[in-house]
Amino acid sequence: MIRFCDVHKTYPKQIGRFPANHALKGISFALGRGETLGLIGQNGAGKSTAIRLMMAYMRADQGTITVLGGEKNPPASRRHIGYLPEMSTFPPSLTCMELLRFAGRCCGMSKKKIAGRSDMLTRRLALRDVRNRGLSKYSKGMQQRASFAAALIHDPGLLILDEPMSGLDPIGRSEIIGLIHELREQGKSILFCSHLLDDVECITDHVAILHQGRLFYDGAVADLCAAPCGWSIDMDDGETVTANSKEKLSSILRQDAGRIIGVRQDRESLQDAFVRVIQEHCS
Amino acid sequence: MNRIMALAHITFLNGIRRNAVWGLCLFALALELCGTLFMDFFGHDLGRVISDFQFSMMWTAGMIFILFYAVQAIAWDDDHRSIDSILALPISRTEYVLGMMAGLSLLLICFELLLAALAMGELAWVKSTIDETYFPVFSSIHFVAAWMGLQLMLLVFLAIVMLVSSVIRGAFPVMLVSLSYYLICSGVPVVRASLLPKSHHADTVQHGLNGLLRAVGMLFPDFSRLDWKNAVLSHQNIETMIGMPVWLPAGLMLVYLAIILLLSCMIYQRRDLL
Repeated sequence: MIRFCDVHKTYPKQIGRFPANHALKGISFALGRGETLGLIGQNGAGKSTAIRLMMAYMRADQGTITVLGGEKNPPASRRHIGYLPEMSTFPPSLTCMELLRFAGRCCGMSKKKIAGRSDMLTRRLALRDVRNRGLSKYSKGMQQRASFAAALIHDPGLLILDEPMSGLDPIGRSEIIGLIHELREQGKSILFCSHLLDDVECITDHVAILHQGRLFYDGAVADLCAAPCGWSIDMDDGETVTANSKEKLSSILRQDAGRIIGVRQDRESLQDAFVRVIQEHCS
Repeated sequence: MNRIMALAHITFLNGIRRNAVWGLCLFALALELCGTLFMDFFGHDLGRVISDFQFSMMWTAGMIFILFYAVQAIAWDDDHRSIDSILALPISRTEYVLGMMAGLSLLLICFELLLAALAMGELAWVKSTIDETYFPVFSSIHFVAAWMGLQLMLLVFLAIVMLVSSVIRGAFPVMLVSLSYYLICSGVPVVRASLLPKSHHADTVQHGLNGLLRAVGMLFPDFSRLDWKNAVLSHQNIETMIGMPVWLPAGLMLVYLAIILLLSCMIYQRRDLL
């Protein structure tokens, strides 16, 4: 669905303001049909640049970007893409329903189909009661959900979500995660970009770690987090003791052998694995 | 076409829900009504005074709309990254330019229609209330033609704003450059008229200068060719007054409009949305 091959992008120097910025330095990764890929990295790592290149908002200086089999991502191919930008804004005086009608009309949908999808999406994204209210009167989370609805109105096969959880409260966040899981089960391909690594870990199978324009890791989350990072020892009184080294583990096993009811090997969280990968490459 | 119409529709909706647009409209309508106050100050040529005032009001209100609303509306999309959300849909950049232009033009024309209706009503009412000596002729057909000329002028200027917005970011620089362009357009014919060779023995320098001004005039069209308001109160038709068929300046301006929009589309197509 998406393939990046040795892509470079440099933002030109702005005299008196910014020096030239080599934002992407030869990155390559791919997202296959039905897969979910998390694009993660610190601020300024190049995630948004990569997404803007995918959407053909900018041209790469070098390398090839293929989206849905084509290199140029023409407007017609966007009928199969649902994109939620990081800062999604539509004219503020529009209502949610007008926005969805506009998005549906642009995608060439019939009025009946737009009405059906709008009804389903406003219900699913808890916007039904406010669907005829102006977007300017929405909270940030509601605006985000309205933009998400607009990105889903044409039932796209590929979803590109840039920080979809920004501005959402915990309930809204869990609802969006639930919806993304549903879309994943329907076989949609999802590229998910977020700073919230817990969300990335629970949604995606694969991750690509970007740091200062370079790709440090591209592979399965399970492989990245496979390294053991200690043991958890369950005691008979309900207490859980952790051991970070083999020496500490054997010491606990010797001292409290009678109280132990189980020993589990802990795996790294995505957060710890991300920090480890960055430190390994930067040292 | 459907996508252009959809974008024009939301641009229009967004515009008519802006208090600033309604404020400008009510202000211009109130000022137009003030045209009746001239009845107490002028005797002869009262019709011309009122007609000129009404057309000036329509021109001023249109220019204010373009410079203060249209410029902001286009820049808003860039500044708030609304253009990202719109282009995420299957809309090409050419459709984006044409959709924005269509929506803003529709809004401008609706706004100007209100002003024109009031101006025409007011002129007809004043003519019916005073002696024919002070207000001998009022041609509603010429009024409509003059109004259409004014609209064409404003639409070309709106297209220039679109073109400048495709090159420069930020509402204020766009406004300054567009206004400068308009002022040059207004100034070139005046300079050319003052430098025209007075005799057949004009030297080569003057001929060269005239040629240069003619070339500059192609880049900066003469908007006054569409100013037909004098015909509203005249027995003569517009063609006699301007000394050429009406379709010629109108067609020329339509060609300018098409070229400017084409250039805007081409620049938007090539531009990186940073």
